[in-house]
Amino acid sequence: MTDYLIQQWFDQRGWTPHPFQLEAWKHIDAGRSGLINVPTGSGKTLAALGGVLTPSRVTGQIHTIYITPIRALARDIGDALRRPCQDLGLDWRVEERTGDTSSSRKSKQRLEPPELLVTTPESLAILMTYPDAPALFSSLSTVILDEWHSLCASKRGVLLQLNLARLRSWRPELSTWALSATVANTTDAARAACGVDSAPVIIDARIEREVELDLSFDGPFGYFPWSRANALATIERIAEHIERQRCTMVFTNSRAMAEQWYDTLSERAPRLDIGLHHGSIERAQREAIEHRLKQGELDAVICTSSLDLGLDFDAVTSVVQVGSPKEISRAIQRAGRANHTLGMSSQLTCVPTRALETLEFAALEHALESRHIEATPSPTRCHDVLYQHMSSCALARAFHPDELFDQIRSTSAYRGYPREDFDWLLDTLCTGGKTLRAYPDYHKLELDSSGACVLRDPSIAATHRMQIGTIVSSSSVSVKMARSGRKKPTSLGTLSEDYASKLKPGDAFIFAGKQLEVIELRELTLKVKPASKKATLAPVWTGESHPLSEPLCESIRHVLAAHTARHDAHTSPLHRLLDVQRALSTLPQPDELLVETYRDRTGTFLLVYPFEGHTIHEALGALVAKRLGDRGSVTFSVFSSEYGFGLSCADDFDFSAALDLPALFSPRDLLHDTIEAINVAQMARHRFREIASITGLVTRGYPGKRKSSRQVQTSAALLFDVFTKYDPDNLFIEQARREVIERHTGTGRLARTCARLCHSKLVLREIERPTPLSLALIFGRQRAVVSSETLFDRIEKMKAAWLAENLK
Amino acid sequence: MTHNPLQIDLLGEELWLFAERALYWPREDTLLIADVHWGKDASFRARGLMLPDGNTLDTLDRLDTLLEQTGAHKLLVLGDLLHDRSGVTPGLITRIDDWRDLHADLTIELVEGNHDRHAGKLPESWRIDEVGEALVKAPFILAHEPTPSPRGYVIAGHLHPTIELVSRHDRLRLPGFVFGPAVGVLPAFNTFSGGPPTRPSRTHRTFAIAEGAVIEI
Repeated sequence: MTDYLIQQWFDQRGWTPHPFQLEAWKHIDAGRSGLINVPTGSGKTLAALGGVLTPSRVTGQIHTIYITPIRALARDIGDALRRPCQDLGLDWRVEERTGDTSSSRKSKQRLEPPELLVTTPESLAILMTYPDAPALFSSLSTVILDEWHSLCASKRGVLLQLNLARLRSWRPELSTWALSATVANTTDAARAACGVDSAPVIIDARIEREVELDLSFDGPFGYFPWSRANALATIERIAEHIERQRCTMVFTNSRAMAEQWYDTLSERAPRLDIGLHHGSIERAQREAIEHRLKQGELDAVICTSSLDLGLDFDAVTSVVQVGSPKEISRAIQRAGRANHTLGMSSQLTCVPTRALETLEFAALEHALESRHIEATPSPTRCHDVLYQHMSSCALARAFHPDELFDQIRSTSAYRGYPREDFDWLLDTLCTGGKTLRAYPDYHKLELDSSGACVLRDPSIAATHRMQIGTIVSSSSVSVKMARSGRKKPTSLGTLSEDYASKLKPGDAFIFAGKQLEVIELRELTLKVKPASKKATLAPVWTGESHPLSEPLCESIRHVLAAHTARHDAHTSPLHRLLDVQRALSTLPQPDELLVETYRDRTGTFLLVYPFEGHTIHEALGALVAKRLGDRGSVTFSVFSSEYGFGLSCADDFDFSAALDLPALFSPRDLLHDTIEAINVAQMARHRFREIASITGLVTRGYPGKRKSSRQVQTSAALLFDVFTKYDPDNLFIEQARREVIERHTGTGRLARTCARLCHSKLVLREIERPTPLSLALIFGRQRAVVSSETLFDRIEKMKAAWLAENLK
Repeated sequence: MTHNPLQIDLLGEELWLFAERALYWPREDTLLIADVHWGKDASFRARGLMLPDGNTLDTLDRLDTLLEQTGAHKLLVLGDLLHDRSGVTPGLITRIDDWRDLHADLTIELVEGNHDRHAGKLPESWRIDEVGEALVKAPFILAHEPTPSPRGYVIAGHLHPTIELVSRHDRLRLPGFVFGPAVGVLPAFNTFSGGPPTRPSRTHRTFAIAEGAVIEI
């Protein structure tokens, strides 16, 4: 036991290592690779550090890299690593290197490297582009990947996989350790971290805590979501809850909602000391809130996913989830933010914002019992990330294409990547490919006489480094409080360009927990002052809202069916609502598909409830509209909610006669029909912005010369049009389409859903008035149009509708 | 191949509306187009986005078709012929020179648009007459900006109008022509552009371009 130096440190404190820590020390010390499955706040940093703390390690060279996805955490992690090293008298330096590190510090690190380097995936990628990188890492023996579950399903993780493969090519004996919360596919996650040829050791800490839901917040609710009266009643109860706790974290699903809750809560309960935290608030202010949380000074913090990960706040005794968490794993992650004591269960207080959300919470409770959580497949065939990586490699030293190809195929993101695609990317980088041949600015690399790839013009190195990374932010208007008296203008954070551009001078809104009034928008800065009138509007940030996850949907269907089977006198708002649903229509059993038809003076409606999340419903709605349309010319408006989708039609379309489930949901030509039905082209054009930015085909601007996201979007859209027109086989276009389709079909989820619906029993109800389930569909606004009519016919119909509307 | 134009009557004048985004006025033997934005592609290149040409070529192709079909001897551009200074590359100048040679007899006049003001002087070899901010040809005032004028009905560009049609069950956005009580606006001749959506109203006649034809809404 005492073989490990860190044991002495534990002894000094009177601590006993947990069995999983001992196991980790043994395997890390032995130079193996693997994954430690352990919840946040259970001593994982020490589990990893203990294995590398051996006096036999070299000094004066980097031997360990610790990678964190959150750069703001680097400092705290550094401190946590430094303390044992100092106490044990090890002459090691632990240094951070992130986007926040000064450039003089960074240069010094390359001359006098620390023994332990704490960094982010992006900073590591940049460091590896310097020609001295191989020398710098010549003694590297261990890489630790913190919060790997948050990285492995994203392009950030893909970029990191590529760089890990490169590090392994320099240091074949490199040992890689991923620290991860529970994921559905542990072995896949471990392989992604350690490489496909590795045999990773998987250490399960087995200290997964039970999550208990507090479902006592269940009303009062009306038929409609989030009325002011409901909100205030709920807020009062939450204020009382906060008062009973030492410190509460209140999670909301959107930044706008966090702003609104903060505003209302601080107005209704001024006695409470509350903080606000989300990704668009200025970093300094966020750090101040984090600091006060750490010190236990706050009664509560209203936050978004911005605090899902990160440091443990010991003072937090309660976690509140406002609105449905949409995913089981998100609920578990958030619940785990409280009571970081081993062995204790974590509690999540659920606050629905509308009645049907109580259904989702009930489903969550059911799902938690079965511990069946979401699988998060990591992206594959990311041409854009590889394209960026190729230039990065050439920056450090010439590479041979064959060697790089073998190297990338050792990552799980690119195992089985076609040589053809690899060569296409390389050719595009060297010659500009089909469309960009005439523009030398795009030709970054060339082949030298030995067949190795080199940088054509070394002066682009600095520019390329600035574009490294895969995070493409969309909001870019910074909000600045105007100078008042001698105080300097202070930055409050950022707004989405779309929202900021709609603001007029004098408009009042809430942001960063303040009531603000617009002075002017100039370039990409919105100047504001404290509002003179009461503001209630919160900004809206553009972002993709998460759909209900597959296991949670399954659970919802189960809970719904269970309700039909019960006839007690319990009258929660959810029960009342479901009773209304049953009286007006029905509640489906898991093997049934509920379909409602409805007619009003504007036309006919078809309402279908697969309970499969809004993205799948969007695709299903378009698919069904297309397949119905194939039988005759007709135009449908298609809309979707988390529970179902709807089609409406101006004509007197006989939906009930056309409902042949096996035909409508047939797996035959499923992908083809879906692509034709949803406007893939338009969505791919939008999606292309991220790809164009990652590849560097469109630059994101430089510090001091920032481009607005609209400029980037315009440039990317033009490039997309040109590729589509002149080079339809372009891989980046293919990727944009694939990403759109994957988002809508949820990597096989659409096919699984169709297979289920094909064999479902149709339960058809003609409804007289809107049912609770149909409300979001009939009165929702987000809709798409699927038509098999000619433009002429559609114009004629709309003209007629317009005339009827305006001449009556 | 192009569809037949739609003939309309405006203040007693016969006008032809083309799906190629142009208007022909037979009595004056003049073809009117607006917002051509030559060199927009090159200008994007100058700002760091390497786009192949194609955009400018497309406008020239459509002009050829229109000139041939109408036999017009005069071309009047209602502003924004050029996108900006950086778009006026030697390549563009030669390309337009070559095109100009093919239409040597054509008179070309340009009403100055906001983009033209920042695009520098037009190359002399293009032989384009700049006629200031507006050209008065009764009953019309031909201008770039669609500001009503006491002197006559204004035909202008600048807005790049798109016609938005919305019903409870359908929605379309199409480029088109909008003729109000005092001002009429042409669609942008350059297809790489989009403008604010206009919905049909009682006071305006709107014409949408769909499937190669002009349709009155």
